[in-house]
Amino acid sequence: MGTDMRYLPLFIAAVLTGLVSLPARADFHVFACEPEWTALARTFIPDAHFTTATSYLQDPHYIEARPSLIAAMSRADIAVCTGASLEAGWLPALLQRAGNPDIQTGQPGLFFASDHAQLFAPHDHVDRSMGDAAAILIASHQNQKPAQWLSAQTRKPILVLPGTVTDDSKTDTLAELISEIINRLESAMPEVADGSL
Amino acid sequence: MLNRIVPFTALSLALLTRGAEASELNPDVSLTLDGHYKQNDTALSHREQGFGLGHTELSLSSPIDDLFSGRLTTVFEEHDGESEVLIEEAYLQTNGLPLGLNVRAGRFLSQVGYLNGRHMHEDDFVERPAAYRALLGSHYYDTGLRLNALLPTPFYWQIGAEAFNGNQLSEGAEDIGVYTLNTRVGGDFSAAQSWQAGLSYLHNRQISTDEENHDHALDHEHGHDHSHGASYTGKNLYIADVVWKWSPNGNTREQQFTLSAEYLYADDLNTFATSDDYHEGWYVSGVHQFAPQWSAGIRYGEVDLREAHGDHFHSQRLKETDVMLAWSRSHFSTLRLQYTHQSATGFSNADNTVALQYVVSLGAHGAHGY
Repeated sequence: MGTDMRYLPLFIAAVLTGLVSLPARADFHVFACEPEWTALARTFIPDAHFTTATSYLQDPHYIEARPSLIAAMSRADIAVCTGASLEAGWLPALLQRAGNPDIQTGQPGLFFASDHAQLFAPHDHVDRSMGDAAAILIASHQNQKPAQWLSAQTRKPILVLPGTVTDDSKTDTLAELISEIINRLESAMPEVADGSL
Repeated sequence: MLNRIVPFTALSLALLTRGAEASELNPDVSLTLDGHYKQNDTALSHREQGFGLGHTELSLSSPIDDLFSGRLTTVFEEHDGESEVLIEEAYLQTNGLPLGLNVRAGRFLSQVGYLNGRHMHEDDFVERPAAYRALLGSHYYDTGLRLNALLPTPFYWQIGAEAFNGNQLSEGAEDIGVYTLNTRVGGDFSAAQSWQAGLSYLHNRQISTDEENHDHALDHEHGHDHSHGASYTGKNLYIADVVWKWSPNGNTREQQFTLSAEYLYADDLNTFATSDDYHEGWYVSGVHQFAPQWSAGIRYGEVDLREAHGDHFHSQRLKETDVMLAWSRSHFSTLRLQYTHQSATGFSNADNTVALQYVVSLGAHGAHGY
């Protein structure tokens, strides 16, 4: 019974140097680039630990790869982001500096919504002379409620995530989470495509 | 419908998804142009009087496979009418090793201090602080190996070590001329405030003999400050740095205030140096981006140096105040007006100057580093 005292100095040294990883509060960490993705992922895995990189008060194109985000990214099991260059200014730097093997380009842990949804009003040509802007819209042909907003200039929600989920949609594995998010994206595609928003 | 779509259409970079998919096969290319007009020559400066070009950088970077990515940065410079092409970065870097490890090999910027690991065109002032210009040649890059570890703490904590050839700092015969150790912590105070603090140590095993030191001093008087190599070196260099950033609600697009400060100390200057002979320098910089396209800043710095002359040293001291106003039309272009005031002991060319600078980048989107 009791702690073996021989290891106590070792234990104290380990605590002092901060090398002991803290007991997991929730064993699944989600890193969401925008609050919409936190809201969506939380409906499927409410018990997970969430870090949201940007708030609705921030322009998600302009934030920096700051230390707290590097730390959060290194702990994450999945990163859910918009893609399509919205996070181009800081996400690559974050991925590189966090060095999380699960969350790298091409790994299932790095989820870009834009890979799974049709972009709204994509251009054949965009160049710098059009100004410094990043705004993408995700849309599809389906006539459902809008799923996601993005406008760097107006910062107004163009698309809104549907709010209710059924109980059986809860999941706790990465693969299930990804497939749920894809399903939701596909089934919640906006009316913007036909101009009714 | 058209009314709704047109504003977003004009903004949209949606195309870049397609572009991004294509560019995974090809390197990201970015070109940085940097030019200036400077009214007077100043002490310890790497920028010439009159019209001049700064760092013209051409950079290629790309993932190599799922484990490695690579980057090449070449710098075109002109000194006394002679063109030079320098390799500032040519490295491969691991993507996501276990245990938070990160390895970089090849030529790269050392991570000592806050400014040194950053590219010069990201700076808020026309030149680096005097302490950096004297002790690190503005930015110290070299060929070697880096091992970093991100510790599994709830806040950001990174430790790292580098080993370098060392010849970019001072010439010598050692295979491994420079070692560095570095630790960095950081986090957020609130949604609006973030911070980072670091400690670095650089061990230079190739401390120049007095004769070489004298050559450096002569070079200096001729106004030929080479872009690489430090004019003032010591066996041990210690750097402490802190950065604090504030922006309302964390929205850096609208407003951001950045306060940064560094302290540099170098000792064991050469065989004749006593414990009283050391280099010391510091700076404090405050930059306020008060509107999306405008920023203003002030920086004050001092450096106390011991210039080697055979078996003894001459004291040199430089105090520098910079005030700047910058206009950035976009991420990719900046025009900067700066006034520099220098007061010095032991420098013949210290002066006050007005400088006008442009920095623009073409090509791939640069990183918003911290």
